[in-house]
Amino acid sequence: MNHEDTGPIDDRDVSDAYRSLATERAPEHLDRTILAEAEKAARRPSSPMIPWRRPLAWAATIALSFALVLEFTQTSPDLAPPVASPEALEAPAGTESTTIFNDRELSLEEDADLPAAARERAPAEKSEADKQLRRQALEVLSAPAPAAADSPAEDGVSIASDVANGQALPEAVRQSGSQSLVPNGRVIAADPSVAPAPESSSAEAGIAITNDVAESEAQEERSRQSSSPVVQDSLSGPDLYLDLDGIEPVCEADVRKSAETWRLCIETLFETDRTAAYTERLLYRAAFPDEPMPTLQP
Amino acid sequence: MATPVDDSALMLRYQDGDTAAFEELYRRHSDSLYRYFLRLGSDPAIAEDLYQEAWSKIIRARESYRPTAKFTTYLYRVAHNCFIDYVRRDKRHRNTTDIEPDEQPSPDRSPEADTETMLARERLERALETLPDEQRDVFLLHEEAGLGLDDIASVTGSNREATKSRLRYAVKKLRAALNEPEVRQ
Repeated sequence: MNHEDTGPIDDRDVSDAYRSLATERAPEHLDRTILAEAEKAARRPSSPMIPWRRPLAWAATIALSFALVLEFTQTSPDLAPPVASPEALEAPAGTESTTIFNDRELSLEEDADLPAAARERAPAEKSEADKQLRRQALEVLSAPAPAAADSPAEDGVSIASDVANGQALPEAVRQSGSQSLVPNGRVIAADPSVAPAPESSSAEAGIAITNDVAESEAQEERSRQSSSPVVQDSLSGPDLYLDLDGIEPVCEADVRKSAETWRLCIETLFETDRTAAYTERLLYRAAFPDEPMPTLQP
Repeated sequence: MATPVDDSALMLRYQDGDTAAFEELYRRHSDSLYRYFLRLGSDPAIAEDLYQEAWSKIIRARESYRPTAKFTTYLYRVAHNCFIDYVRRDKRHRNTTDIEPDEQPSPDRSPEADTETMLARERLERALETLPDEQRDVFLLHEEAGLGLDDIASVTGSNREATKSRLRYAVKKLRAALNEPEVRQ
């Protein structure tokens, strides 16, 4: 018996008294039962699966985990919504700006001529990307725009000319090799300063902003942009690519038959609704590319 | 004289299918384990059930047995857990323990037994019954299993100081019961 480490709590008298009295023995029928059970258990062969079942489970778990991580690693860049960096959207002085940003998604084309920052894709939430885009768009709108950029031929972006000539703009963008980045073919705006397209390829526009937003949000954006005092000339350049299909003209059909009356209508409209006037001017330019543009001066 | 084979070695041999090793192991611990349950619950029927359950667990767990501690510690940890499970299953187990000492099965009892021994036994058993479960458990593990304080603490899941305190209280009460000519509740 191991009583040496109990020290003063060890009472020899109590221990002896207990031992002299505790003389019961286990019942024999229990002895037989238990020994029979032990013998039976010893004869029973062990399951052949036991030696390798646990390693197999571990290996399967590790393999599945690795495959899962690999799958997420390979697919996550495509799943993440692209976000334009502030440098990419910021308009340098002397260049045109964009105006309409009633968009849901912003896609940057995989263009080698783009600035590196513009090609980066941040794995941000879509809503967060939208907010950031709108904020940057308002900053861009605040940049001064010289009147010299009014000519489509000066900035070397021929897509703008396509728009001015009434050609289907989405088709032009699709030809740029960025179809996957423009899912619905609606391209809103591009800034040649952001994406300095080479003269040989007019389709290499820098930014393509898709437009699938609800009409209410578009109206909200227009009203917000109309509050900017420096927005009046930002649409005059050829860098604005707009899907004109979804835009309803404000001026009456009879007025739009003549370039002169339509121009007057737009100039009148500018006094009440600047955003609508800019939009109307785009329609005007698409319809009468050779006629003088309406003068939108406050 | 041959040195007795260690309990853990016997268990390992049984792990390999040597039933004779288990029989030897069983003979070494069967009576003390039975008395442990008998004193702990004071009901022979319950003691037999718990005793069989404990050994069955030892048998079923033979393949996972690892000699990381003394076999006695391992055996009484299983036994202690069996008793704890029983207490949880039947919270009124105390009501079933009111058994007179004369009803206890004892092969040593005979009409020729010494009267003084009988009285001492009665006093000791009554004193044991009055002990709290924890103190009685510690005392039985000390006396029947021969475990030290550290092993008892390991079996009961308590620390050494608490075990020592319980054992001290148990011994003190039992000694007082032995010194008294009559111990009546």
